[in-house]
This record gives sequence, C-alpha cells and structure tokens, in this order.
Amino acid sequence: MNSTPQIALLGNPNSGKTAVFNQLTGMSQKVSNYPGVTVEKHIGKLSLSNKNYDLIDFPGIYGIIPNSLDEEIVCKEIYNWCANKETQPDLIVCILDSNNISRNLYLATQIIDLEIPTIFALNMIDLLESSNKQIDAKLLREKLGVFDVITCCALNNKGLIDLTQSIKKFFNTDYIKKKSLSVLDELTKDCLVDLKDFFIKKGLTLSQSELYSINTVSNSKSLSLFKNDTEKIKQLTNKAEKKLSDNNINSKSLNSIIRYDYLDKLFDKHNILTDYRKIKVKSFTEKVDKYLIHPIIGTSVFLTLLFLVFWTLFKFAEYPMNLVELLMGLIKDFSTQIIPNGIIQDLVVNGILEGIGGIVIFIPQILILMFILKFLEDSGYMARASFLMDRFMSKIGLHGGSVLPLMSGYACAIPGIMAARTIDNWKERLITILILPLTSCTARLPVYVIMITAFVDDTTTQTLLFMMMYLLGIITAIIIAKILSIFLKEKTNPSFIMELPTYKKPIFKTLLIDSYSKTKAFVIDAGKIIFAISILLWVLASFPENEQNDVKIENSYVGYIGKTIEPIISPMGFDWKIGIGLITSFAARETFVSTMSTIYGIDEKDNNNLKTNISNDYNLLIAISVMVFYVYAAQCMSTFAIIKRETNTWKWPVFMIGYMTLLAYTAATLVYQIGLIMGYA
Amino acid sequence: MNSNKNITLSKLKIGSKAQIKSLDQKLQYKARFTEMGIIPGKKILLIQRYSKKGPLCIKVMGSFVMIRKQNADKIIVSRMP
Repeated sequence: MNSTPQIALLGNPNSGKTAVFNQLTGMSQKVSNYPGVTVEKHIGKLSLSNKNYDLIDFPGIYGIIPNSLDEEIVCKEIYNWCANKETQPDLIVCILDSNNISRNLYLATQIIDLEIPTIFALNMIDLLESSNKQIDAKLLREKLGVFDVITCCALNNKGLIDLTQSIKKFFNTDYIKKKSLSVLDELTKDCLVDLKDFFIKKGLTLSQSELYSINTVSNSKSLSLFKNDTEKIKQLTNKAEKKLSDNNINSKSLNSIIRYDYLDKLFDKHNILTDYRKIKVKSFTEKVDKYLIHPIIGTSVFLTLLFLVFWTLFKFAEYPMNLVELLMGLIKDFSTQIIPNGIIQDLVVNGILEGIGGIVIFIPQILILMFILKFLEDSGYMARASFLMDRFMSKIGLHGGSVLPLMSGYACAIPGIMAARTIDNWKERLITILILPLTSCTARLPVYVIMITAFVDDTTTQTLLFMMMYLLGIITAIIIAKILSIFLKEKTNPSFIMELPTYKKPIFKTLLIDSYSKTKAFVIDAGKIIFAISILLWVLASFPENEQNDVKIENSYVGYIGKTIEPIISPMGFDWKIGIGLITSFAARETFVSTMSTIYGIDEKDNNNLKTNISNDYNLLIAISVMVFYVYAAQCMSTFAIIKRETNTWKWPVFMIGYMTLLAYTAATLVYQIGLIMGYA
Repeated sequence: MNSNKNITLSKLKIGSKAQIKSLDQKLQYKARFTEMGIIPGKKILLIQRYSKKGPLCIKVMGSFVMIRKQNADKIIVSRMP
C-alpha cells in the first residue's frame, strides 16, 4: 500500500476545484472558468506540519455517471475504489459552489454513498454572503453525516486554513464513518434488488451497490464502467427497468428525481440556507447576459473582440519585439567578440544564435495571445462564445462545445485536441480533432509576420492580411467539418446542454503565471528542436567547403537537397531556399523562420536582417503563396502524435496529414499560378 | 383552464418565469437534463434566446444553462407571474 496518504479532490465543473488545488499545493495549474478544464487527473504534493499528502485533482463531474470521456476517467477511477478497496483514497475533499448549493449537493450525496470519509468545502462563500444569504455549515454536516463541512473562497485564499486544519484533524483522529444516506423508498429498493445483490457480490458495500444500481438504470452510459461484467449488468438492468415501469416508476431519470427530492425535503425541513434579501435583485451575470448573448448585440461584441485581439497582436507587440531584436543583436556582437574567429564562431553566431534569434523575437506576441485566451476563459466569456456559435456549429455537424477546443487551437493544437475530450459525442469529437490543426496556431504566427512585414508597411493592411490568413484557416475548417459530417457514418446527437458559468473577475496573477508558463513551455519545446535543427542545418549548409564565397550555400549539401526538390515546389513559386524551410518545418512549423535566418546568416556576410533579405529575394505573391501553404500544411510532429493517442488509431492522423498536404499544395499552387496569370510578379 | 397555461419551454418569452411540468418521453439524453436540475417542479427563468431555431439560455437551480431549441420543445412548462 502507498504510504503517503491520498486525498482526492472531487466536485462539479466550475466549483473552483482547480483553484483550491493550486492554493493548497502552491502549484499554478491551469484554473479556468469553463466546464472541463481539467481533462486528466493531476497529482500535487500537500505539506501540512511536516507531513506529506498526495492531493489528486480530477476533472469536474455533475454526477457519478460518465457522459463524456473526461468524466469517464473520473467515474472509472471511482468504481475502481469501490471494487478494489485498497485503491481507495484516505479522504475525499468535495468542493461545492455555495451559490449553487443544491445542484452541487446532487453530486455530493452520491459521494457520501461511496462511504469514503469526506470533507465538504463550500467554495465561493464570499459571493453568497455578499448577496445576503447564509449557509449553516454545522447543520449541513450534522444532517449529511460527513466528517466536516467548511466554508472558503479559494480565489482570494480565504478559509483554506479551515480546510487544512480539518484535513489534519482527520488524519489525527480515528474517524468512524457514520451510516450513509438511504435515498430509496421500499418499492424502488425492491425493484433494484437483483442488481444490488450483483454489486454486493462484486465486493461493493450496501450503499455503494445501491448507488450503482440507481445510476445504471438511470443512464445506460454507466455501463461503460464495468468492463467484463457489462453484459450481466445490462441484463439485470433491463429486468430492473421492467419492474420499475410495472410499478409506474420512471427509470430514466430516477437518479435525479430521488436525489433532488431528498435535497428539497432536507432544505424545506431545516434552515440550512437562509435568504435575508428583502427584494430580489438580478445578479450581475443575469443583467450582462441579456446583452452579451443577445443574437445581434452579443455577436457584434464577439466579432469586435476578435478584431481587437488581432490588432493588439500587431500593435501592442511591436515595442517589446524591437527590444528583443536589439537584445539578440547585442548577444551576437558580444559572442563575435569573445569567441575567436573561425569555425566555432561561425557555428555559434551564424548557426545557433541566428536560428534561436529567429524565434525568440515572437515571444511577446505568443505571450499576449496566451494571456488574452486565458482571460476569455477565466472571465466566463468563452462559454458565451459557445452559446453564440452553437446555431452555426449545428449546421456543420458540431455544437457549441467545440468552440473552446477550436479557440485553444489558436494558441496550440495540442491543448485544443485534449480539450475535445469534453465533447460527449464521438463523431463531433472526431470532427473537432481533425479540423483543429487548420486553426492558425502560434507556431504559424512567425511565418505570417515575417512574410507580411517584409512586403507591407502599413499596420492596417498588415492586420487585414493577417486576419485573412486566420479566416482562410477557419473557413476551410468549416467546409471540411461539413464534408466530414456528411461522410462519417457514426451517429450524431442533436441534444446539447451546457452550463454557462457566472462571470468572474480573472485574477491578474493567475493570468500572468499561466501565460508565462505556457509561453515558456512553447519556447523551450520549440527551442530544443530549433537548436538541433540549427546545428544540423549549419553543418549541411557550410560543407562541403568551397572557395566561391558568394555561392557558398548553393554548393553545399543543403543547396543540393533544395535544388533536388525545387521542381516539385516551383509551381507554388518556391525556390530551393524556401524548400529547405519546408523540409525543416516538418518537425515543427516555427523552424521555418529560424531556418531562413540560418541560411541567410551563412550565405551573406553583410548584416542585413531577415526581413530585408526576404524582400530582396522574393515578392508579395510568393509571400502569400508561402502563407497559404502554412495555413494548410500539417507540419507538426506533436499534433500527429497526439491525434494518434486521442483517436487510438493510425487511420485518423494519417488522414489528417493526407488531406492537409493535398490542400496546402493545391491551394498554394493555385494562388501562385493565378497570381502570375493576373500579372502580379 | 390550468392546462391551457402549459406550453413548451421554447415558446416562453424572454425574461419570464415558469415552472417545469413534465419532460417528454422523446427527450433524448434525458438523464443529463435532469442531472442539471431540469426536472418537474423546478422553477426556471428564460434569460435569452439566440434566434427562433437557436439555443436558449435559462436559469435553473441557481445556474445558467444553455439548451437547444429541439430539446426545449420537449420540455413542458407552465407560466408563472
């Protein structure tokens, strides 16, 4: 058995679970105001009075019934606790949103039935008190028979001492679990008896068996939890359902009806929640949502916001970018001075530094984009975007739930593809995953920026061209989604229900830490690849050595490779130098810029910057062709790997590469050839 | 008289309150709806509607929930003052 005590953190989506986790472990894990932010479990260390505990954060669930993949992960683990006692955590901390207490208690009463010691933490108590309501935590504890009920507000660190005190108290006393709630009446119990006995034979306790009997007849999705017993349980469930309907009991929503009924009675009988308000005032969310999800006003606000985001990316990032460029220049000059002339200096300055410099310059823009996306998530606005987009999404075979994954795709496809786990229907999830690489991620940003700024000077035109590339990606994604939804045979589900969390003021510190850590991860991951490729490229570009300095690179190995593929890429207007960029981009697209930097760094001894070199060698038409190619091309090993993992087959990642490469080649060729005919050259 | 007042949730006016009467057997995915508190007896408030065929935003049991029009057609409510 594990010697470190295990504490599991469970709760509804948006109950502030991850915020509690972060505050307790001191780790800045992602906190968001959007259902399904944690899609996998995370383990953190909690240290109290020199004693260590493992704190496990799980994805949020509404009940112990798996409706989507992220929920299935939690529910499978919980069932495992029941079937194999030794895997049980020592303690469950269940986080509840105080402002939404009965809906949150719906899950909490199911957790009580697990008969694992539990502490309830009533989170966001500030908001409840400021609206003149009060919860009697002591009374709730007494009535529900849990170890403790505390109140807290994780976002401003209030009341968490009470929680840690309570955890310490639990581990210092011999707590004997009180009897669990029995929510079933005799007649219903009778109908479920065979099912219940089966679970008891599997080693579950009486109240666990009742819990799983109720949940299985209520929702057939529960069947996914039982592995080898599925068939047997299915038979017993069908029998129980028949018995229930013979007695005029509706089995399909049995779970919700009995539990909400139990809670209604509990709240009616006891003064657990007191409302001191004289007159009812509309909440902030209610007032604001009338406009922010209004079909016309809301949509205009959404589109304006999108434009502002792109505008900020250009205008706001200009100054820090100049600063970074200046800094890189200084580092290069410094290195030239301290390293003696020769091959090492050439490798460091023209190979490595040139390559790294090509990418660090985009740090400000990546940081700003990450910050804005995080702000939209945390404030609760992203869920409103889902609402506004749902009607449209339903027409292309998706639903509003695909909006967050797709929007995250603008930062990076990887978290976006992971976030797609919250989509409950397989077909919709698969389509979302397959079109996601078409949203222009931050790795494409450097390519767009360098190509646009090399040929266009004024900011408005730059922003417009930039937006056009993003639009091209998303419009194509829409068309592909529509085509896939026609051709994929899997069933869709026209039903869709999603919680819209209340608006919250994002914490500046969290936003900053989150965007900083994501940008850091991006730069380090990209940096590793770029570092390796820069060295390799430098070697291939510097050898074999030759006397003619002006055509040095053309006669090198790289030049040879580039020239070989030139006939294939020339219909798109690309020469051998861009060809090298394309080849190195297959690992990750952001290497394009560093590759071009390295190639020019070796070839030219005058200190032109990359922008000038590109504008000397190419023209706007080629620049657009390059950008269009990058909008479509599947150049990211990590995306390929993650799609393989998430779809569990080679079929879909291979399909993705195939359709995207075909698109990229055809579209770039069309752009260039039509451009030539129209006389732009 | 009373039965005249029963309408589907999708026909409710923006800003008006209602009590849930029943859920149609044909409501797909019923368990998810009831889990979110959409069960007979609960009061709801219609916050906003996207369009005639678009999604609705309702407040139920203290939380804001988005549902599609096709589903709202299967939820029977009675208007409240």
